[in-house]
Amino acid sequence: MNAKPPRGHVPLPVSGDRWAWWFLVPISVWQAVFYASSAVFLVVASFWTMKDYRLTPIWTLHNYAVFFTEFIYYKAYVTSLVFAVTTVAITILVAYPFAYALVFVVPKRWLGVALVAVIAPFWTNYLVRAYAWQVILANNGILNYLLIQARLITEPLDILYTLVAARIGLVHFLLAIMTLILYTTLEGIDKNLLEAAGDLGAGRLRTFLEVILPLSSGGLVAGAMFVFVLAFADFVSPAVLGGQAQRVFPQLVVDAVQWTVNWPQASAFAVIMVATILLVVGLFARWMRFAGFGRTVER
Amino acid sequence: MTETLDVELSHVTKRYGDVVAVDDVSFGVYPGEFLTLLGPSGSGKTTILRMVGGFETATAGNILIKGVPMTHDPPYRRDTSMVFQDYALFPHKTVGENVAFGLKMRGVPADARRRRVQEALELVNLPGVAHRMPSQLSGGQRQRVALARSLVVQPAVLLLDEPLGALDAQIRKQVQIELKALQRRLGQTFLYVTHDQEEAMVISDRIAILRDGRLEQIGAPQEVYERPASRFVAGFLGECNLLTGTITEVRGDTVAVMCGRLGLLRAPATGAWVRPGLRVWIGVRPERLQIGDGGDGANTVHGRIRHAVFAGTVTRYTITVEDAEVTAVVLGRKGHGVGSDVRVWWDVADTMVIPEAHGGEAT
Repeated sequence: MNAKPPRGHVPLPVSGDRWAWWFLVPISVWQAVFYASSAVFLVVASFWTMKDYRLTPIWTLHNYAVFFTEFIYYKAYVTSLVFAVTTVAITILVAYPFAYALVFVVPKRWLGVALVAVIAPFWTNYLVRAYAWQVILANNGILNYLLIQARLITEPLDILYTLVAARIGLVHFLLAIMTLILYTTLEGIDKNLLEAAGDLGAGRLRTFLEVILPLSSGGLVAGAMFVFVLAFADFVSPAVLGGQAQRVFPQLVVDAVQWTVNWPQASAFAVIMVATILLVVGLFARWMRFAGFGRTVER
Repeated sequence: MTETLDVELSHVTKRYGDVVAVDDVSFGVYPGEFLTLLGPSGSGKTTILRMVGGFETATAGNILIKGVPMTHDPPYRRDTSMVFQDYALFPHKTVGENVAFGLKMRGVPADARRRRVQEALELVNLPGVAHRMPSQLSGGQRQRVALARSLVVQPAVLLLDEPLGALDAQIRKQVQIELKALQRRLGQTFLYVTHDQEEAMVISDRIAILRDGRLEQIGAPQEVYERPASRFVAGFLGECNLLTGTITEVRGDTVAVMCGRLGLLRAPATGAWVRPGLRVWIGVRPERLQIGDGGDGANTVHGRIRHAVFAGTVTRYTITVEDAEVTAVVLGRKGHGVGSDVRVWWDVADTMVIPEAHGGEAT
């Protein structure tokens, strides 16, 4: 019978090949040496102290206490959260219609071109792209030049060195990820379901709200998770495009390492960031499980 | 025509680029009728169904639903509902929500919706599954849910695209009978697509046989089986022994056909088109051939048994007759061995005369 197994159920291949276990060794060793051990050390170091510019195992909670007592740290943390959440929202608002058009509107023969257009920016280094945005967004940059020429504004807009510029750069970077995730999800929706909805009397909007949106909620959650993690931890766009006026939390981590050479402080901030990310990812995962397909119950 | 047809196609053509999928097809579906579109894959049957449902637009011609031209209207404006081959149940909605979907889109209030969903599920013998997800049901159950989902909106015409295609043979036979009974009881008009000729015979009031986008013949199952309009229809609806010959004489209601070394065979004159000199096919169903004594001596030939296969209920013989080979299916166990000489005969009434070229009526 061609009964499909329930969604999310992936049958494990019958493992008769004991040798396959050895394939796991290289990556496990790599992760253990370069990731797990460093992560453990990071957590341990976050409770240590700097003494005479040396990392010294004197145990303290001071590095964490600073976060809750010093306003600038707390403020940067909130800025980062807001920055990440708004970036997620903007990315979804831009990527969803685009992915929708790719799946349901763009003719098949243009699809390859369109997908390359989505992926192409990835071939340029992120840092290089951030500098390219400087050229566009600067007071005497291309954008302001065009707007003034078009007589839409008289004075150049102060975009560069604000979080708006940082968000533009970051959204541009993350758009490809979100678009591809949403594209795969939307592409996976059985087209017959849309015909069935139309057949039963649903117009385009109802079909979208009742069928497409709920069935793509999995992709939305996955994409949001990815984008949140990357946006929350990003310091390239805030540093290159955001300037120093509104600082985001990852910049403070960099400062702690580069300027004050305070390794324990940087470690504590890093731990706080990782904890935040784990919490958010956990919430997303929980929501995904509870929401199922985002269904509404008919009673 | 005084009675309004539920569906009427007039000179409908569908082209995809240079490919003609449906070629100048015209027919009507009467209220309460079970009409089956039958044909091999690529015959255009599904395209016709999809044009009636509004999923495809005809390149030329008109489609009327309940007498109203609907050729270019989208599915949601048509009084039709489709049962898809793979059922197309919404995987994120419960069975109840699936069945309620069409009612919800029509703005039926929640209580009425709940009641009608329950009735529809009872109708298809699936009470008490409303809260389950489609993935928790068997293929046969999902098929019924799809049926209920379409029936609940009480469409003028229910469109069914090989709805039993995914079921295994045993369940399929049973569901055919149930489906037919349900259709009768509700008086619901069905336009049904299948490539299975046996299914079409069992289930339909009338069958429209399609080939390469053209309508070959339309008629009641027995009519198309016993009076096929073309060699294709004769062969597609079941096994058929075909011999070629030339009409030598038309006398009253019988024709005489000269079939080479087999001699003169007689058949009923089935249409106004029969006239002496025409090249025709003579067709006889294997189960109508008799071996042994009997008959009035009209259609009688002598041959030698080449194969004899006992298949349980029946025995199949392959018999060499002059320069031809015929198949006879006889009830019961093997009565004649391979190599034995036999007398083969059949009733004049069981003989079919088929024009050699399709459209022979016109010549």
